[in-house]
Amino acid sequence: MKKIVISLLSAGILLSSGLHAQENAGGADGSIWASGEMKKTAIIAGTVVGGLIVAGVANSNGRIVKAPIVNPPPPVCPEGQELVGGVCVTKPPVYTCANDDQLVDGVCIGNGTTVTVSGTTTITIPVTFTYLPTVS
Amino acid sequence: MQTKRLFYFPCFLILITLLSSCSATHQAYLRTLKVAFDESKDIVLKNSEILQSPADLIYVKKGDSSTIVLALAFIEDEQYKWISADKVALIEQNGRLVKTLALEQNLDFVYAETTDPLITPSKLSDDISWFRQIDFANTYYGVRVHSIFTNKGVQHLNIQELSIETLLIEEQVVVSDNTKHSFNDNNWLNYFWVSKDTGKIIRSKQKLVPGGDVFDIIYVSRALRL
Repeated sequence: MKKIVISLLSAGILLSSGLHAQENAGGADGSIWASGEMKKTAIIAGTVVGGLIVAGVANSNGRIVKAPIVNPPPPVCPEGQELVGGVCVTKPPVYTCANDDQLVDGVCIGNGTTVTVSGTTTITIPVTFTYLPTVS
Repeated sequence: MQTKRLFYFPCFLILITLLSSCSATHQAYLRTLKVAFDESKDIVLKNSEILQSPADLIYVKKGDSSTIVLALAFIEDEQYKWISADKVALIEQNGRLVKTLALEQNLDFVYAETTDPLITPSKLSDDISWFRQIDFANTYYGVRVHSIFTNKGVQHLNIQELSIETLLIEEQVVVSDNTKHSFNDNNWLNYFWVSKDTGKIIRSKQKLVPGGDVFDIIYVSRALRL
């Protein structure tokens, strides 16, 4: 009975650790692998407010002049990427078929005719053919 | 008498100058100049550095500040606890930040009666909604928040020179006004990019509270394992 309980517990521990097998946690000392300071923004924000107050006082002649709020420009994406949700993502490929051929499941379907000569009779048979689309 | 005046006047001027240098205005000028010349830049790690790190890493950009690197400290009750070099902690569950510690304004608590749809983002269909209540800044309690999710389709994200196929989930967040609180900034969009291979969040841009900063988080260790 004891053995069964121990083996069940071991299996449980293995399963629970397996859930995060890929994730590596550094524990209480995890911060030594981090870099950069997040609280720095608080100091900067305080400084900017201080700066605005100074600007206000400097321009005031008895009244505070509010500094205009300027939104940062959106990021410029490199060629082949577009801005989605403020993030540059790769543009999806555009598939093109020749003439007015239809694109079905990533394959172009074209229509044509095959001419067959049998004795003195010429027979024209409509045919369909498939080919890969042009990717741009 | 004339000699005494000649001695005391410059001393008086020096004293006034020294005293005024300590004033709040001058300190503010100095701080502003310091910010203007601050060379803070985004931290960018090499792939080898990320792979060699014993703890998982994420890039975090909070508002307009520089991008920094946080390390995974603990995984407890499906919550991922990330910590910065200056001991700020971001606690996240299924890609959503549910608590922050040691920031100037913290998200204190998120409470919901139903499961966050982000738990299974790949199964998320359009117009699914989710209600929750949040406490923040040690001031606002039980603020009601309503989200509507939209699947925006496949996107290819570039992370650490890798092109990763993702599913973009857009979350429209609306903060309900009530008798206790009213916020000017009560409507915004959050974005979550989910790896098509693993179903895990690879990147998110989320605002936690009305008037708060947007957190742009990139799971670089996770991306390099794909």
